[in-house]
Parts: sequence; structure tokens; C-alpha cells
Amino acid sequence: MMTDTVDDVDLPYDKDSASQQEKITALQERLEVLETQNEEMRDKLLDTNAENNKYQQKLERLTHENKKLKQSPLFVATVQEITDEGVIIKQHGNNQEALTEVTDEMREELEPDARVAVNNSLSIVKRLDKETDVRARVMQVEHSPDVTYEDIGGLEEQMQEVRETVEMPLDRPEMFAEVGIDPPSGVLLYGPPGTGKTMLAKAVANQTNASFIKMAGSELVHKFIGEGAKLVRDLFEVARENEPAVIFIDEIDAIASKRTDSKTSGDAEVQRTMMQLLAEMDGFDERGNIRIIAATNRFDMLDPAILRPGRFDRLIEVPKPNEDGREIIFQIHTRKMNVSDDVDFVELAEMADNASGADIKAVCTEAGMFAIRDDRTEIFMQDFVDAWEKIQQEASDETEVSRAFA
Amino acid sequence: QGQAQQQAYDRGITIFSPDGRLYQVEYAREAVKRGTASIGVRTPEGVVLAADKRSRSPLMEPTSVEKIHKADDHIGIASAGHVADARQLIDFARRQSQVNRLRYGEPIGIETLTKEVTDHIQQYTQVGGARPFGVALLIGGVENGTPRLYETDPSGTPYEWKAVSIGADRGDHQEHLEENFRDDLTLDEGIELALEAIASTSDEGTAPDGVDVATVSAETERFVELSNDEIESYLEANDLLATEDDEQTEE
Repeated sequence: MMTDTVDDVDLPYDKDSASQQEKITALQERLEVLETQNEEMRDKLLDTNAENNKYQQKLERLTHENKKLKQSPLFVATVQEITDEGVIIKQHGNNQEALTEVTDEMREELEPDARVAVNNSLSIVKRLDKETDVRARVMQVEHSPDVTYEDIGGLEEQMQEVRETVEMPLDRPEMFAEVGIDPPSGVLLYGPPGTGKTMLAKAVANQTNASFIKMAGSELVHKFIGEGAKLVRDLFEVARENEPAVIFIDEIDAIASKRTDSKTSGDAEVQRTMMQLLAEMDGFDERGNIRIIAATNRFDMLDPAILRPGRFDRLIEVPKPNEDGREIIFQIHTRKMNVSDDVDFVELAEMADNASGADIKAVCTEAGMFAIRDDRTEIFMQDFVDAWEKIQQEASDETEVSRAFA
Repeated sequence: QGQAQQQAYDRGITIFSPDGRLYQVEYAREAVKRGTASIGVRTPEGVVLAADKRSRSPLMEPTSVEKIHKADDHIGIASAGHVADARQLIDFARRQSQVNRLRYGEPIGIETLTKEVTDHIQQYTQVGGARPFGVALLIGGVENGTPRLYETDPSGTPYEWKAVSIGADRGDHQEHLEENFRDDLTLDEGIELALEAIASTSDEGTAPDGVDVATVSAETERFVELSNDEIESYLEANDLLATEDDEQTEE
């Protein structure tokens, strides 16, 4: 614009009457005005240019994204081998192997067994993180349960043993190093139902600083072959990442029952899951600083292989409580209850012969219910006696068969 | 098709499992454990048979619970397990005793009778369409002045013992016998040992009508059942008697 010459300019003076001097002054004035105007315009132009750039970029980004969304998804594959001719990958799902070219940069990133994303033409787009099953991650316990060792009655010996195996190696590993033994790897708690096996594990979870991973044995049973085993592998992977860790497997008989000759494929898969567990517990790979606690009430059904030293070093029986134990358990369960002075725990413990911890809890709750039914808030001895009788009735109904025997 | 066969090792009594077991016979042994305990003790002075028969209801006549049977004048049999099965075997034993007397004109030997009975039991582990006897027996008696004590089990194997327990809590009773048995026990001490063993597994003590005791003394060669009063005096002398209080709670 500046170089353009303009012919029909509106002159700021009268062409005929103005003197030469006047013409110069007028023109100079005019020039000054124009120059300032020009300056302003140039600033504006710069601003607009910048804004234009910005919009241009945004447009580019959106077009890119648009294109990406329209694109078909990438496939997941695993690197099998890195050779001079290229990289051999195996697609998940159809298990097809392919030889593909990669850039030198990409080649450095890759290693056999890495997970990668490939596009339609099977060239590697990017490397993916190692996968661990979300299901395994979910099992990590973040909020520790509010059960402490004080809440467990009558199992002093068992508690002691569990703490020795689980807590000692975590708290004082140097002791074991000095003595020169490997700390025991796991404990198996077994005993009749309702005797506090899971409670013990909860207390450990509450008390320990290690990350606590809990699961039920049945969670490891899956529909497809290899899935259960993979979950076990992932579980230990998660544990290794979060060392030190405690893994708790409840109802382990779901997967660790005796291997039989049964050819039903369902059983076979469950057994394969168990074998993976065996391998993880004491196999070729270093187990790391991981303790395992398992619980079952079908000890007789467990496979002998899982019981051998090196896997579960410690087999701890959690029996039904004795009379002293029952007394303590009564006291624990009535801690928060409004109990009258006439309640005699010693007598209750004597009365509740052969009761498990869970039975006692049921008696306490039932006694509370009796009080509520009577519109009382205080619980008397008689409530406990009535509750015990009620629970007894539910339990015993066996006499008919035994008439045939003497 | 293969599965059905593999799981069926416990269906037929005539089929061995791949590891050489006869499951039905083993299950029959479980039936024996469901019965209350019977104990036999052999002393130089004779054989003692004792049985725990605590009744489940105060209305039941204690004498109708049959645990100790007379098989012949000189032989007593104590049973544990399925009662009806036991009665069949007792009948068989009584018959064999009489056959022996008729045929040979002399009382049957204890070992001979035991082996007749066990051979009979054995047939029911090898023949299709039947089931094994769910009962174990203690056959005790005196043969030519010598006390003998035999055990039979559902497989039809005879064992001879110095002292033995069958039925519930067998392990505990056997342990008690092993610790306290001596070769030179008198007959009285034999009765005491048997009663102690039975009492060792009950917290409340033992009531006189909760046990049966019978002896075959070497001297008389006669099967004798002890009366309730006699049992009571034995229990009292050894401080095993249940107190009145406990008896009530038991009911």
C-alpha cells in the first residue's frame, strides 16, 4: 500500500492560490498524520495476524482429531522377536504372526514380550505399558478393616504364630539374615467354620504396614482356560510391585483341592489355576518380600503339594474356642452392649459348650433381640440363656439317623 | 463315558479303586464309628467285655440297647455300629456255635468261631448286589482254659488283641488301654481298666445303666453279665460314677 502511488489524492491545499511555502507546510502536516495512521494500522495488522495464527492452529488440531476419530482403532500385539529384517509380532486374539518394519527409534524401545499397538497395516505405532489385570489391582485393600488383635479372643497361640510369620520378616528382616534362614513364606489357617480365621487376617491387614491384598479362592475360577492362572500371575505381579505385601486368600479350597483323575474340563482348569499358584509361591521366580495367608475349613481336601514346606510353611489350626476362650469372646462381643450386672460370663462360657466364635456372636445378637422385644435396653442373663437355647435348637437335629447305631 | 466309570469306584463293593481300595468297605467302617464304644480286655483270669450304651432318652428302656450278647456259654460278643447288622451276625455266631456242638460234641473254639464269622462278613465284600456289614464285633471267650479276644471288622479281617476298642472315640480309648494295660491284670482290674477307658472320653462320669459289662472267666468258662449294682460298685470304687446332677443335664 505504501508503494502504491495514488493519482487522485485529495490535496490539503488550494492548487492555485497557495504559495510554495504553504504547500510544503500543509503537505508535511498531512504526512505526519498519515504516518501515525500507518503506524496504528501496522499494529492492528500484527495483532490480527497473531490471532489468525491461533485460529489456524486450532483448526489444524481439530482436523487432526477429527481424522483420528474417523480412523480405525489400533490392534494390540506382542513382540515375539527382534531380528535384522524387522520385528516379529503376534497379534492378540487371532494369534497371527507378522514380520513388520520399525524405525530405529522405535526399535530401541522394543524388547521381546513387550506389548505394542499396531495399525491396520501391522506397523508398530507405539509401545504399551505392561498389563496387569484390573481385577488383580482391585483386590488391593486400601481401607484397612477395623478389626484389631484385641478383638480376637482365645486364639493367643495362633495369633502369635501368624504374627511371627507375617510381621516379623517385615519388621526385622535383619534378624532372619543374621540367623541365616529364609523367613517362612506363608501360613495356612484351618479349622471349623466361624472360628475367626478371616478375623485373624483382617487384624493382620489392620496392623501391618505392608500392602494387603485380599481375595477369595472362588474369584480365581474362570470360564476360559488360562484366565485363572493369569489372574494369579497378575496378583503376584501387583504384590511384587507393592513390596512388601501380604496376600490373603480366603476359602482356598475352592482352587487348591486335591488333584484327581477326573477328566471333567472344569476341574482341570481349576487345577491349572492351583498349579500356577504353586509355581508362584515356590517356583523358579523369586517370590520377593511377599507373605501369604490362606484360610480354609476343608483342610482334608487340600492338595498335598500346597502343604509342603516352602509353600505354606506353617499350618495353623484355628479350633473352636475352649471355655476360657469363649468367656473372652463373650466379653468382646458384649463390649458395646448394655449388659446388666447379673450377666455372668463364666457361666455363659460353660453353658455355650462347643460353640464357635460366630455362634457366640449370634447368641449376643439374639440376646439383644430378646431385650428389644421386651422393650428393654438392658440385657439380662436370662436373655443370653434364651438366646443360646434358641440357637441350639437350630443347630441340633441329628438324632433320628443315629438310632440305627449303637 | 470315561468319567462315569472313574467316579463310580465307590458304587460297587466288588470294584477296586485304582489305588487298591474298596470304598464301600471303608464307608462301612465309618458306620462302625457311628456306634458307641465297645471295649475288650484280655487278662490271664479271663476276658472282659464292656460297652458304652448311654441312652439318648430317659424314656427308652436301657436294656433294649443291645451291645453285649451271649453267643454260647463260654463266648460273649460286643458290637459297635449298625445294630440290625450286628444282630444278624450274632445269630450267625450262635448258630455256628450250636452246629459245632452238634457236629463235634464240644464247645466251639474262639478262633474257629471268629473265622467262621469273618468268612461270612468277607462274602459281603466280594458278592454283587449286597452291602458290607456296618458293624464291628469283639468276640471274647475261653478256649481250653485260655482267654481269647478277637475283633472283626467290615472287611472280614480277624485280629486277636490283648485289649481293644471299637466304635466311637476308638483312638482315645485305644490310647488309654495302651498306656494302662499290663499282662498280669486280674479280672477285676480288667473290668476297672475297661470302665476307666470308657469314662476317659466322657466329661460327666458314667451312670451304671449307661454301660454294660460282661466277663468270661478262665476258671468257670462261663459268660456272665454284671448287674447294675455290681457295675455301680465298680464305678464307685474308681470314682467314675456320674453325680445325680450331671445325669439330669445329660438328659
